[in-house]
Amino acid sequence: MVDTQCPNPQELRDYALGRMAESDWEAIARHVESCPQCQAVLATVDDVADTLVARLREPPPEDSFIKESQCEAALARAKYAAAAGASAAALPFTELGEYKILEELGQGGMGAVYKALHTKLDRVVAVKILSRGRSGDERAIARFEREMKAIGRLDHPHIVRAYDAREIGGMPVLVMEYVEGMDLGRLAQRLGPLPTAEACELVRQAAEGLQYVHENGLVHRDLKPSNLIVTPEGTVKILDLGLARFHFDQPTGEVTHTGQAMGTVDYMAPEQASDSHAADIRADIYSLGCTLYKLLTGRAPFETKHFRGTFEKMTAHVRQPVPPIRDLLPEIPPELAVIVQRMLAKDPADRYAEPAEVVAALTPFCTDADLPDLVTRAMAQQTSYSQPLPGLFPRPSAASSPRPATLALRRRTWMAWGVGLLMIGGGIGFALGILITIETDKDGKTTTKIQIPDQGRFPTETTSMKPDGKTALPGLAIGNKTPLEHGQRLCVYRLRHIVADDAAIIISSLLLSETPRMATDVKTNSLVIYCDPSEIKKIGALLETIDQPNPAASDYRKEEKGKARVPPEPYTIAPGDSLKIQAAGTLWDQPINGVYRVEPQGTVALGPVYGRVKVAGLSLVEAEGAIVKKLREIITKPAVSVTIADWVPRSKSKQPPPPHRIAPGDILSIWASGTILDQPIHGPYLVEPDGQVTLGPVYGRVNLKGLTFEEAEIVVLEKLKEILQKPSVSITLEGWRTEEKRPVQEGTINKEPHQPPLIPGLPPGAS
Amino acid sequence: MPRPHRDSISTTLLDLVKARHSGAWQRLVDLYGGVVYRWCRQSGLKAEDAADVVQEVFLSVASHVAEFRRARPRDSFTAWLSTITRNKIRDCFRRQADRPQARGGTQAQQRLLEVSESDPSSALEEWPRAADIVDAERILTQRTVELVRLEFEPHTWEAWYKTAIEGRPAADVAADLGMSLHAVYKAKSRILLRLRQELASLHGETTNPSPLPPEEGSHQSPLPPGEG
Repeated sequence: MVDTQCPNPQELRDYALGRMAESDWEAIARHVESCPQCQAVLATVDDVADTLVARLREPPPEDSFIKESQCEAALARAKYAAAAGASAAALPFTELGEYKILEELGQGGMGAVYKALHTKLDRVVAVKILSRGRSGDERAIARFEREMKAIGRLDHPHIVRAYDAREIGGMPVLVMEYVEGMDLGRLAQRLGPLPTAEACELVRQAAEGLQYVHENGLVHRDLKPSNLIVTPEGTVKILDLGLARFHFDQPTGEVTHTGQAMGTVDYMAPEQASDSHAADIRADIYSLGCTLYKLLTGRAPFETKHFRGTFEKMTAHVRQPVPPIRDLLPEIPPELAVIVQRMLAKDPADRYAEPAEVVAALTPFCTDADLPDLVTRAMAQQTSYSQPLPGLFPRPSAASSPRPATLALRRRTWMAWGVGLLMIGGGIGFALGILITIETDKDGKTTTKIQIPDQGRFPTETTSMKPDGKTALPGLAIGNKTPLEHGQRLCVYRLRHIVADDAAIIISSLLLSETPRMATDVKTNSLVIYCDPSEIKKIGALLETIDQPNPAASDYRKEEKGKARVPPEPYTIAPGDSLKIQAAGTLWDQPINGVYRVEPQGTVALGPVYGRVKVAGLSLVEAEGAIVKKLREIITKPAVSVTIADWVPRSKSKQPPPPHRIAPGDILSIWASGTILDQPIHGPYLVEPDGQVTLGPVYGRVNLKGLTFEEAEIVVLEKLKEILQKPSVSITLEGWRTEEKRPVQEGTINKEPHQPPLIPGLPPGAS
Repeated sequence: MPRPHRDSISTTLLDLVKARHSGAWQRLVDLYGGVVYRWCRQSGLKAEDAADVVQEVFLSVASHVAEFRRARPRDSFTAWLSTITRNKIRDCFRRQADRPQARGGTQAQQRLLEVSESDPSSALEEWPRAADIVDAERILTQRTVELVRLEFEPHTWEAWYKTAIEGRPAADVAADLGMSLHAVYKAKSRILLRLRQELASLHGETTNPSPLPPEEGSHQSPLPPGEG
């Protein structure tokens, strides 16, 4: 029975040729099915004139290349190529076989490591995608899989378990136990030379694991600090067993390639220089000796300027005597120096015969070792981070995986806070950086004044700006995208001690609402600020206080001896102090870590909204508590800040007339904590033609047309509260099996204009 | 569910790739990989080198795709991809020229080398020509058809093929395949609709790579993408 009116001839024609929205299609299909008249009309539709049909009927261009076997191989490699790329490029995919990639854990010489979830077993693992030579060598893969079988059987507290090793999508993949912790390479990098007991305990545990490896007839061949991981509980685990062989045996491995694959030869035994295959467990003992040397002194035996290249270092391992450790560290007990010396003997026969002997020898030096404390300290010590900050307005964060805003501000000892606290004076005068002022004349001519501060003097040099808007300074190709307004100034600060991204975050948190537009230039580590001329000095002074050497990165050993550079306790925080706050987690996707200035009113601004917390008059420990409380509040409270990221010019002036009234076409930058359907809320939003902004796919639209930012903030906040409290459901059609069983589109609940991705999932087995 | 979109323009494959939607990257490679490989081979690269260059091209795409911004509507992804490919091919030839035991080289290779050494605006820089892009778009259409085919039951596909491609009357096809007349119409309509969606998804996203490595950013104004 026909339950609807017949479509008009044009609609039928569009149906015949599939030229319509998917949502309309179902209804017509259902109608036509039961309407003979319409079917008769369909028979008359001529499809020859349709461009798509015409194109499909053309024979495709001759393409014999696509049938070549290399083409297929190339595609297989390209699909996963990015994973093994040397650059830390974001993975272009989120699934690898049955593993769902969660986050990148690191990039090593042998490939990238990701935290991943086994979707069927619901188990979190670490997945290493191994890089390999130019062409896939099946024998190498076969050997790799064979070796991994042996390694997969190993089960020991000091060894990272291997669960699976095989080829997925053309890439050799190793699936391992996921271990939370820090590798000793990074630990040493952050803390510098370690106290004797801790260094010995780390190596002792590694030796225990190595003994087990040895008893199972295996050799590691590439032991080094970065292959040893220590958990927050203080357990050391050996990583990457069996991988060295896989890499050394690459047939295509030229010297440079092998060098890259191995990463470093600082820990390589002399006998491995001539023949890596000959190495036995005593080579691992040598490598462990180098590791101990590194942990105690801060550098590996030949990690000095005298032995720069790979070749020099390898030769040194073979010929040069190891610099006696007591020359570097006289306070090392002579007995320990002897142990190190014996581990580092040139002739394997002169070393300990097996790792168990190393365990026994080191044990007496390990008493009082507090590894959990060591790890806590190392984790608190953020020397740098590599979180790129794309200017002040974050891009739509589609590319960034949802990061839970976990807050775990660690309670630390006074020591940690002592190290973390910097006292920064508020000196005047641009002692650091270069200030470039670009002034635009009314007629569009631009002059560039370069002011190089020198002990309070400001020699000024004036050059003209190139017509393309680029400055004459190398490395500063800026301004070509955004023409400067008349009177606007562009300041470029070259930073010496702090990463420009960090500086941008700190500046934005210090200046809050008057935050200027900023961009960072990674190449020159410069911060480019577009601002009102009146603000240049203020920002310059701020930057100067921020851009200070970080004493926290200096030798920890000194503090251990009681020469701590910390203010007298109890210290009371006062306005003008700078606090270095170290806290896990992020606010608006930006790390909380950073230096915060105590504002004149005694507050610290942790974030742009509701972010001020009063700390003046408190002790450091009290301040810590207050900050934790505030951070919790910020993170749980939906806080909204609406500013404009771009606007539709409605008058000749490109500046938004104050107060700006939101209009369709505006792009709003909404800052808010929290997530909707696992996606961060903050980001740019387009004001749609009807004045609505879509905050989320369900119940998520708010009308902001004609509102000021302040009003919009209230409206958005209310809407967010509503969304976050209401269980919201959106069901859309993403795939179907057969046409007969296809579900009826009318049942779709989501009437929002936001459609799901247009590409339905392929049917099972198709991919 | 992807994050709320900024506008209501339909989600394209590139958007999905940027959002790291599962499978999107693989699909991108499936679609474009053959074209890139073909370009490499056409330039005179040997099969093994072509495979390497394909990998390099996609590595580059992977690390820059997130930086895409909608700019000039005339820019198409295909044209941008061809620019990256051209640069990688040139790099590959340069590497070969640097090798001590460099082989003689085909005519194309000689030409490319001469061109790249002398005047950057001549022949190599002018590749891809309009015809190359048109060819590529046609291959892409073909590839899209192959991929969409996997989504449908064989008999649905056959009904579509016989009517849409071979141009046979629906009634004949229905009799041949033992299907109802309407099922044939429906198959034809459904698959054409699906192809239109997919091709629109390919061409809808017009991109301009913003912060590309210098040499990759300087591509000539490409052809408009084919009609979607």
